[in-house]
Amino acid sequence: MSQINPKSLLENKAFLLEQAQKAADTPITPAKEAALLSAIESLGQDVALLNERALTRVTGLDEGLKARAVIAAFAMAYGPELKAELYRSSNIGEFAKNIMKERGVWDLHGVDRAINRFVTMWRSDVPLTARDGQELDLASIASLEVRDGPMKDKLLKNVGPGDWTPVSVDPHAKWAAFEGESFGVLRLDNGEWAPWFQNDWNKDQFTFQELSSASLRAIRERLSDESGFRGLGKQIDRILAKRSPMAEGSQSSVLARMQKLDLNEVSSTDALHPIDIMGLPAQARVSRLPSKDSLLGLLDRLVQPAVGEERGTLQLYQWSEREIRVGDEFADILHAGQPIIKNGAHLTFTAPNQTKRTYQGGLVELSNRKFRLWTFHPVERQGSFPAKNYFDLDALDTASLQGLRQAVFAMTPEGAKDAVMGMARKFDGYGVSFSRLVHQIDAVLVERQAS
Amino acid sequence: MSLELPHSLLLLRAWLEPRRALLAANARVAFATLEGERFTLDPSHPELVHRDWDAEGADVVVLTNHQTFADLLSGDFDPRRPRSEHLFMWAGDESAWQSLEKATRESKSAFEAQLGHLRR
Repeated sequence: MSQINPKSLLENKAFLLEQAQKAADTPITPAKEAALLSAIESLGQDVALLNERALTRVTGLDEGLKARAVIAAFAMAYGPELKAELYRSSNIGEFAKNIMKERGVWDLHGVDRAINRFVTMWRSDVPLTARDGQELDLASIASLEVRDGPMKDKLLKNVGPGDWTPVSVDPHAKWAAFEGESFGVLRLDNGEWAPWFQNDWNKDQFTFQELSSASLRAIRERLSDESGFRGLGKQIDRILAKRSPMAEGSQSSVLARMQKLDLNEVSSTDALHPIDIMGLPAQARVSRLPSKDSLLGLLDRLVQPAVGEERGTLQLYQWSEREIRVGDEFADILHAGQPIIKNGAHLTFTAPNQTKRTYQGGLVELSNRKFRLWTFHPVERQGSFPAKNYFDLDALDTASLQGLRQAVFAMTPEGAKDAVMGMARKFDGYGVSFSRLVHQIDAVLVERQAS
Repeated sequence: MSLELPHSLLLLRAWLEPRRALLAANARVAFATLEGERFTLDPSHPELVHRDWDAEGADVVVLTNHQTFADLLSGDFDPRRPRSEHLFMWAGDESAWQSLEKATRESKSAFEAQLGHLRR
């Protein structure tokens, strides 16, 4: 087989590098990253069915997700080496960075051929299956040469193990071959076109069905407009039409899967904003979900006003993605469900009307910048989780408040051990938020001292 | 507990109250809206539509938004051709949905017609 065209390889590498750069430059939340990886795992080899057209029709995907989908589809579609490399990386973004290094994955055996094939497939107008037939180098196909006159070599066809039969060729038809005659196309005496390859002293005939879709498209592109190859294009189109997922219904099964994937991705995101839901395709926005649990799980993840009981009245609270979890043995600071700071503060707080009974609870910053304590309700549930009760800071006993102040102050700009860290906290938003909490705790403590 | 129900909830309550007897006991529908409202349609509850939230005990759970709910009542929400501002995700017992559909069948309202489309 001839060598890959260096120009097309460079262009195709550039495309993948651009996607990798985009993935690295457009961070997404770890939860989204994990959800995408999980969805890709569940799709398995079918990820290779994706192409540019299918992806652009999926709503709700941002640039970071799209770039990662390209990179992950490339990795999953082409062999165990890249797949292993993907899973060795902690996430798709890191894998993309590895690709950009142009070391390691680029040097893997056969990856140049994989890049060419993948990019061609990605840009095709219909989703193509990966490895759905024998793979030929697409650049070599583009360099097929047209030959006149009858083929002089004996042409055989394998009809069974070790059983070869002579094949009759149309002696008047043109035929095509790579330079070096390792592979080509010819017309049989029944009028059908067929591919052949060089096998020691003979040329062996096989069928177009054995070739991959990408190879077929490349052959059609190269030869269908050549005079003397009439009928070749239509013959290939018939094969491709049967393979295309578009043939199975009015809508691509790939697209349907991606829409499902998109929904899964959203539903498994820790912090979900209503706008994400409204960005779903119509058939997902107006639909019946498989179970109440799946819908309640979705509700649990929505960042939205939540119903919480407070001293016998029903009130609505808005919380941000920021959360401080305070338990018996820990105080974790989280943003969008991901820990950003952990410390070992030992805090115990007591719910109103309870004596020395500890709850797992925490703090939320409301949209009005006020902090509220919450505890899990011992009985009531909201969705699949215990319901939360919300309280003013005043609900904490003084010792707990002082302990909480100490833990939180250590994370404020003022509580930083050096000026650089202090400045960083001032500008990252979290530190300022913690300062507000300290001031609110101080206000409660001062009021108690005064009373 | 006396609560201020949105206008559309009052409409729903007023409209369904005369048909309460036609609703099966298992037609408890818990609604959640993106705007943060939680309410339940419960044929066995004195208020029929009330603000207690018991999604676990409900036969059907619905996630929607104010716009869709209002449009459902007014007939401006066609589940077969939802507009971009529409949201109606539901899960649960289909027979509960059928009961609601059956109870409203005689009303000849847009609401009843859309219930049928949502079930399919």
